[in-house]
Amino acid sequence: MKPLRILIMDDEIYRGDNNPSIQAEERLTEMGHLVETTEKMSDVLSSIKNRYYDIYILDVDMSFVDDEIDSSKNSGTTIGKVLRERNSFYNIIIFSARGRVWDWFSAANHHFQGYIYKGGSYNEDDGVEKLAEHIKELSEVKIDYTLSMDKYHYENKVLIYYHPDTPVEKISLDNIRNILDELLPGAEVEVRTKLAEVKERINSNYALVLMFHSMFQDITKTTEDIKEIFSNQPFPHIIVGIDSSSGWGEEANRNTILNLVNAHPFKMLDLNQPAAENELRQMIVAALKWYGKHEIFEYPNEFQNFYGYPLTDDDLEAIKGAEDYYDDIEEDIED
Amino acid sequence: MKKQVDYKIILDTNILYELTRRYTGFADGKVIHIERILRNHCANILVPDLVWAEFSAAFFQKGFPYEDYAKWYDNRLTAFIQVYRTINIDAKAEYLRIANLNSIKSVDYLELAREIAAIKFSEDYIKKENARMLNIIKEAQDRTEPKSAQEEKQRCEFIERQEHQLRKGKLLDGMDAQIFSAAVLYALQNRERNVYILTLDKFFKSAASHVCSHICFYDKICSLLSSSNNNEAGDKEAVDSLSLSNLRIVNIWDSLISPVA
Repeated sequence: MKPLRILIMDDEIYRGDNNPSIQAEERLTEMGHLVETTEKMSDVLSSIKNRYYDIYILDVDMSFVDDEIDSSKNSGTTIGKVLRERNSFYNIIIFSARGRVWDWFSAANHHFQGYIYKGGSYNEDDGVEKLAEHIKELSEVKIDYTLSMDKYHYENKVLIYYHPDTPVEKISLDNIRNILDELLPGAEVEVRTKLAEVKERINSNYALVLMFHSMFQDITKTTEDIKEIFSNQPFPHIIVGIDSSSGWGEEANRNTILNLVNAHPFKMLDLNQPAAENELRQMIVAALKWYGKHEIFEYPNEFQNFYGYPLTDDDLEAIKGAEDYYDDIEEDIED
Repeated sequence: MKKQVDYKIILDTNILYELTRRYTGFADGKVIHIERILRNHCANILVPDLVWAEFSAAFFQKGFPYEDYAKWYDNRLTAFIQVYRTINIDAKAEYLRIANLNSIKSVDYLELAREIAAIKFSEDYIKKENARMLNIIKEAQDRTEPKSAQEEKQRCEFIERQEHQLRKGKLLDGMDAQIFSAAVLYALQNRERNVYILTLDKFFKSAASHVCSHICFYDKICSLLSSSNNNEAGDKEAVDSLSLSNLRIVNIWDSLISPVA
């Protein structure tokens, strides 16, 4: 196994041996990886320009330590989001016992490689072992840095999975059809209510696939189907809409939501938000753009004082080469 | 009603280089203007594969510190991804696969590139260029208004570079001939469409424009055909009406390429 350079961020990492992040550091070091730790969000962002890590492991709640980055407004998920916006190829894993609905959905929508629950009453598995297993899998994946200029040519067809339990008052089939009429005029829309039917039909001719359910409570039974459906991406991208408040509420739905996050749909929409329809519209716009295999976000302006710019003037000179250097002064004179 | 003219803009590699300047934190008017052009001419941009390959090689294959390669690559990739986004996603550029460009009969872009690369420019053209550069040097030398030490240093370096270029001139060097010949073939095969090569290289612009207006591609292609084994009857007719009136080489400030409203 290739040794990886790993950075673990946890505000309580220097406060006692029982912390799962410390156990994770020991476990990953035993596995042969080069592990560094930090208790501050600002350290992660400051390290971006000068230190290389294969994997960032981030805690969500960072309120235990005083930091230049305000932990009442930001969390490990914010840091993951900034990392992802800066580079689509970073490996980012959330390792946390906390986190709220926003964190879970944000992890999916920024394509984090995993969201692992540290442990506790919602998860019987040992979080550290689960993390170690996940890192092992990641170490075996060869990153494909290809950025293809070829476009994805699809037919004007959309496949919708709309489970009968989907809260119609939050998103109705008519709402969805109206959005599609606006963004994909004339699209042929096929609606299915069974997962097996989606699995049978999905292929690269679809512009996209939209899947709605109140909560996929039966996810333990359907995980394989869902993974198989999601594995078709990015031909086409798949957007999943669920209601985080369904049943006993968001805390009770944590495992189901995190299972979906870790199955990696292109986007995950929480139907339990006032702007769900608008959010869906934006997600469809993003899904119809062609990024190759990695969604590319706009370069982040947030916290730029920490991470700076990726290139220096020297880089620019080296990239252009002396002969290609054209002169502003000459243009000025010619004007 | 004004008729919408069909057109395509082929990007030269230096346009992509210039876009990277934004990721040093220094986005001057030139970068902003290029981004505006790309936005306003969205879906009419062509990026030849050769240009993308040349750009990628300049980005990833030189100038790295051996001891810190992983971080160096990571920083370069961060900027590269954003240029890719600007070109491929925001400007919805099309990828021009040069090798798949139809040959004009048996003449492909590489044959034409070899011909173009070996062109001898006329004495008149060389004299004119020489005079233009001498004039620029003189104007730079004559600038006597008060300057900061930094500006004065830049002025001296500029004069030195110009003098160097006078001794070591350049016309269509490196990949220029190949990019230009691909654009020629593309323009010849899309005569209903205006084709622009957008470049920041003043030598390329001047030399390629000169070639466009002074070299008869009809003759050039016919001479290649006559030397080829595949010379079939009818080839002459096939290239008889070839003209290059629809190909222009433009700078980002040229009005031809000004952002449309």
